[in-house]
Amino acid sequence: MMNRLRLPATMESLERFRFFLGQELEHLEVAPARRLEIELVLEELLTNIIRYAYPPGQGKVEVGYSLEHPHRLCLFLMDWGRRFNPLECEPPELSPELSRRPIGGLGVYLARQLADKLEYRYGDHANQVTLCFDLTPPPADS
Amino acid sequence: MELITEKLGEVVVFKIKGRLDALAAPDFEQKCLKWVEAGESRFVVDLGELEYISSAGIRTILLVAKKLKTLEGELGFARISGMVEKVFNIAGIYALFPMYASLEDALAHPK
Repeated sequence: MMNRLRLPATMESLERFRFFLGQELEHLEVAPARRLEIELVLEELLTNIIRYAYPPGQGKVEVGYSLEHPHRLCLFLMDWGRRFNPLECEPPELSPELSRRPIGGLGVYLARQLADKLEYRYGDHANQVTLCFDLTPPPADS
Repeated sequence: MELITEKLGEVVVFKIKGRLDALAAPDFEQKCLKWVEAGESRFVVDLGELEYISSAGIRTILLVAKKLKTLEGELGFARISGMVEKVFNIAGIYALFPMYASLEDALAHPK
């Protein structure tokens, strides 16, 4: 079963999406370190949609999640704004010289590094991103 | 995010707690830049109690660092760990700044 939440594509929605997903992460007893990484990936993709998909203050974004198997959680992000494939993003300049570093452009890169799977498709006039995370099983009670 | 600012000798220390995410980053940026505009040039950010950072937080750090560089200032970090350390690694931030194991080390470091 997939749980979904659809909210306005505004910064105010960020916290609500985090709590929506957070409840599930808690329920699944995801390790705290991994949980923060999953929250990061969600934030990066959501802020991209909020900032760039629509004219400011307009549009909606939907987040869903489902457990593919006991140790694989997948997130689904959907928006109906400007077409954007995160897999086609240029890799960032990671120069060790500050003067050569742009201040932005790291969000999608971080998401790609931390998710175990990232898929994109465009259909029904919507950007549809799937992100999956392998979860380490919690240690068995001894 | 909770931010405690303290001036220790010539150094401005930011003790940042909680989450430096897209919602908190503008506030952190504004507070940092205020100190820079006031003429301070040596900064240490104590990351010991920072639980979470996203690209919005990294963006603020790079922006402040660039501004400081034009003023020949200095920015260092102390007590990095956990998720924040992982993000610094992936984003290639480690190589850009001095990193100290403790706040004492950071403050003892001569300019």
